[in-house]
Amino acid sequence: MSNNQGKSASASGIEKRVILTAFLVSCIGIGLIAYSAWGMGITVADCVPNSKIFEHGSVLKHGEKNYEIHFLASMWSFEPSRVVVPVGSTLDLFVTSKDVTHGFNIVGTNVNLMVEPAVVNESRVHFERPGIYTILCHEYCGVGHQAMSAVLEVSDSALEISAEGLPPSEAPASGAANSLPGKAILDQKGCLACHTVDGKKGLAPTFKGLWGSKAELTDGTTVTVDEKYVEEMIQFPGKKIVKGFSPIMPKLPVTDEEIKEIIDYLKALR
Amino acid sequence: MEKQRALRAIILTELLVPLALLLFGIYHGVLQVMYRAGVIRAPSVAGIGYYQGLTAHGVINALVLTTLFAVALGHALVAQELDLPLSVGGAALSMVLMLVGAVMAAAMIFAGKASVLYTFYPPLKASPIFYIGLAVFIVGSWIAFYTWIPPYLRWRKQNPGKKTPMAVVGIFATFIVWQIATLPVAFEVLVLLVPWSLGWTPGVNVVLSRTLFWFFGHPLVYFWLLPTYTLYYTMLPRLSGGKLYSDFAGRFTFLTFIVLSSPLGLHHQFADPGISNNWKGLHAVLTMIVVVPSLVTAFTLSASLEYGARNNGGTGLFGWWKKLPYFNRERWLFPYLFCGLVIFIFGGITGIINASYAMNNVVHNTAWLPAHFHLTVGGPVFLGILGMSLYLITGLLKKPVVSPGLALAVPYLWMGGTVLFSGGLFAGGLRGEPRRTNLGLTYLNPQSPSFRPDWEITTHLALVGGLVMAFAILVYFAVLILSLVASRDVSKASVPFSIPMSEPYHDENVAGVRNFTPWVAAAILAVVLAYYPPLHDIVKSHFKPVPGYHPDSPIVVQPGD
Amino acid sequence: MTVITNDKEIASLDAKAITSNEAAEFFPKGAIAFFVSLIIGFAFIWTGVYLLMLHRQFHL
Repeated sequence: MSNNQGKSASASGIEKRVILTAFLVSCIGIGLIAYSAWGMGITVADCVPNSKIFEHGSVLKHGEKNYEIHFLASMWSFEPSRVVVPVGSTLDLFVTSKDVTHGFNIVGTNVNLMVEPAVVNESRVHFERPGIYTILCHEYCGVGHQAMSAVLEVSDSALEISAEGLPPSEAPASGAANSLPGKAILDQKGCLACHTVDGKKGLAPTFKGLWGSKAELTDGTTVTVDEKYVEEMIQFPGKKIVKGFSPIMPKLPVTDEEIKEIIDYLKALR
Repeated sequence: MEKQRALRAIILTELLVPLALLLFGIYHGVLQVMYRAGVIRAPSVAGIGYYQGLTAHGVINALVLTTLFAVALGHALVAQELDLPLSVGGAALSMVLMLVGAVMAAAMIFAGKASVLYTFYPPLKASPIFYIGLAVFIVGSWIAFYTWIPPYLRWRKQNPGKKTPMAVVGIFATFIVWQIATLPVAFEVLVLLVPWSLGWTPGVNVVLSRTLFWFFGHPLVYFWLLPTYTLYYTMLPRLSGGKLYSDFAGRFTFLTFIVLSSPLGLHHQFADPGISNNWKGLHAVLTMIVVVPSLVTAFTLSASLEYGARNNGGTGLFGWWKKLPYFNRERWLFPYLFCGLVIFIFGGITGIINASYAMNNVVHNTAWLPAHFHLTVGGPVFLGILGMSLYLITGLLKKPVVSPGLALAVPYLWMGGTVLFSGGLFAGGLRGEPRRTNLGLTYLNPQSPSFRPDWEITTHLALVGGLVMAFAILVYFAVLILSLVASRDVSKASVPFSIPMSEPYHDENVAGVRNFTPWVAAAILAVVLAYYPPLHDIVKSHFKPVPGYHPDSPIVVQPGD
Repeated sequence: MTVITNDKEIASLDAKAITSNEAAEFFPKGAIAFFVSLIIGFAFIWTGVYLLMLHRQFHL
C-alpha cells in the first residue's frame, strides 16, 4: 500500500481531532472533580500528620454536636461496636488497626477508608437526618471478615453521643474471675477475639454462663458443655460446632495444664 | 514460525496449561456467586475455603492465564512478523520458569498456606514459597521479552526506513509496560515480603508495600489489555472485511500507553492512610489523561469496522453496523473481538468513575469493583484470550475447529452473562455490598443478625449471570476439546499457518511514532515525577514495621511459624 | 498483493477492499456518530455517580 501524502493529512487530521476531543473531555472531567474538591470540600483520605496511633476505641465531645470518635479495627470487630449520636452532629472519625489491613465503610455515605496498622486514617461526616447506618469492613482480613461490622445510629431522641463495645475504663464487675490464670491464657491465645465473656453475641459462643449449659449443635444433637466437650473443641475445633456459628475456630497449641486453667475460668463464669 | 517446531511446542504449552487451570478458576467463580447469594452458607465447600478459592480464582485467571497468553501470543506474532528465528533456548527457559513459579504459587494456595488473595496485602502473611513462586513466574515472563529484542534490532538493521509491523509495536509496548511495572512489585516481594515471611525481618512497612504493589497494579491492567488491543489493530479490521482506518492511531495508542500506564497507580489507594492528597490528586489527573488512547482506539476501530461494513453494503449513519460478520462461521473469531469491545464500553466508563478522585468514595471496595473489572479483564481481555487461543491452538496443530457455530456462540453467551453478573454487582455495590466477602455466612444469611434483605436481589442477579458465564465456558471447552481430539484438517495441513494482518487504509508517515526510544525515556521520566514524591514521603514518615498474621487467627505470627 | 491464508472468504473480502479503495475517499461519518454517542453516554453515567457523591455528602 503506497503512501499517499494527500490522504495522510486528512486521516491524521480526523484522528488529531479525535485526540483533541478526547483530551478536552478529560479536562472537563478534571475540572468538575477539582471543583468538587476545592469548591465543595469533597476529598479522599489525606495523610494525617503526627497522628498518635491509638490502641483503644474512644469517643470525645468537642462541642455541641461536635464529636471525635476513634475506631480501632482488629480481627474481627470494631471498637466501639455501636455509636449513637444526635441529629445534626458532625463527626470526626479516626481509624487505625491493631493487626492487619481492614476497611471502614459507613454504607450510604462517602466515608470509605482503608484501615491500616501503624498509621491513622481520618474522615469527617455530618448528619442532618436520623438513620441507622452499618459500618462494615470491606477489605479481606481473615476468616472472620464477613462478620466484622459496627452500627452508627443517628437519633433525634439522643441528646449526646453514646457508645458501646469500648474497653472498660474501670475493673469489671466479675473481678474474681478476671484474676484467674485461665482468663490470661484465653486472652493471650486470641480466643477472646471471638468468644466474649460478658454474654454479648460475637463470632463464637459467649463464655459467660457457658459451663454446664446444654448446647444444640449444627448436626441437630445436643451436648452438655463439660470437660470432655471443652477438650474436644480445643483439640478438634471443626467437629462439634454450636448451631448458629461457623466452623472457623483455628487449631491452637494448648497444653493440658492450660486446658485445666481454662476450665476453671469457665466454671467461675457460670 | 512454521520453521521452528520447538517454538510451536512452547507456544502450545503456554496456551494449554493456563486453559487447564482455568477450569478450576471458573469453578471457583461459580462457587463465589453461590456463596455471595447465600445459596451456600458455609466457610468452605469440598475442602476449599471461600477466601482460599478466591485467591486461586484471582491468581489463575488474572495473573497466570493472562501472562502466559501474552508471552505465547508474543512468540507467535514476533516470529511471524519479523520472519526471523527466535531463541528457542530462551523461550524454553522462560516457559520453565513461568510453569515452575505458577506451580509453586498454586501449590501453596491449594495447601491453604496462601489465602491472601491475588493482591497479597501484608500484614496478612502467606508461605514464602508463594511469594517466591510469583517472583520466579514474573522473571520467566521478562525472559520471553528479552528473546525478541535481538531479532527486532536485526530486523531494523535489515529494513531501514520500513515501519515496524503493527503487531510487533503492540507486543513490544505490552512488554515494555510490563518491564517497568514489575520492577516495584519485584522489590516489594523480594526485599520486603520474602525476608519477612521467612522470619528474617520482624515486620513489614505496610504503606510502602501497598504503594509498591499498586505502582505495579495499575500498569498490570494495561499489560492485560494491550495484547487484545494488538489483536484489535491487526486482525479485527481484516476479519470484518475492512482495513485499519489509521495506521498512525495504532502506533500512537501503543506508544502513549508506554508513557501513561505507570505514573498513576495511586488511584487504587485513594482510601489509603499515610499518603497525601496532593499526590493522589496528581495521579487522578494523569489517569483522566490515559483515557485518551482508549477513546482514540474506540474511534479508530469503529471507523475500521465501518469501512468493512460499507464495503459489504452497509448504509446510513448507524445502519452499517448490521453489515458486520456477527454470525459467520468462517470468521468465528470476529465476535470474540467485537463482543469484547462492546463489554469494554461499560468497563471503561466504570473504570473512569473509579479513578475520579472523591467519586471513588462512592464505590471503593464495594461489589462495584468486581463488576467493573469483569467487564475489562473479564471482557475484551478474556474473550481475546479465549478466541485467539482457540485460533492458535487449532491452527498450529492443524486441527479443525469442531462446530464453529458453537465457537462463535461463546462470546455472545459470555456477554449476556456479564450483563447480568456485573449488573447485579453494580447495583449491589451502590447499595453497599462489600467485595471480597463471604456474604452467605452473614449478610445473606437470614439467620444472621447482619442479614441484609436488600442485597438479595442484586446477589441473585449476579448468581444468574455467573451461571450463564460458566455455561459459556463449558461450551468453549467442549469446542476446544473436540477440536483437539479431531483428526487433522487436510486443508490446513497443506498451507503454512499464519495470523492474518490488516492493511491500513491511511498509512500515514508521522515521524513521532516511529521509534520506541523517546517514548520509553518519557515513561521513565513520568514514573519518576509521579512516584518520587509519594515514595519520598513514605520513607520520611518512618512507618513502624508491622508483624504478620495468618488469615485464620488473630494472633501475631512468631518468627519461625 | 499475495496473501497466504486458509480463509478463502477473507481473501475475497480483501479483493473487495482493494478495489473500493480506488473509489471515493472514505469519510467515517458512522464512526464519528458512534464516538459522539459514546462520549454523551459516558457523560451521563459519570455525572450520575458524581451527583450520587454530592447526595451522600450533603443529604445525610
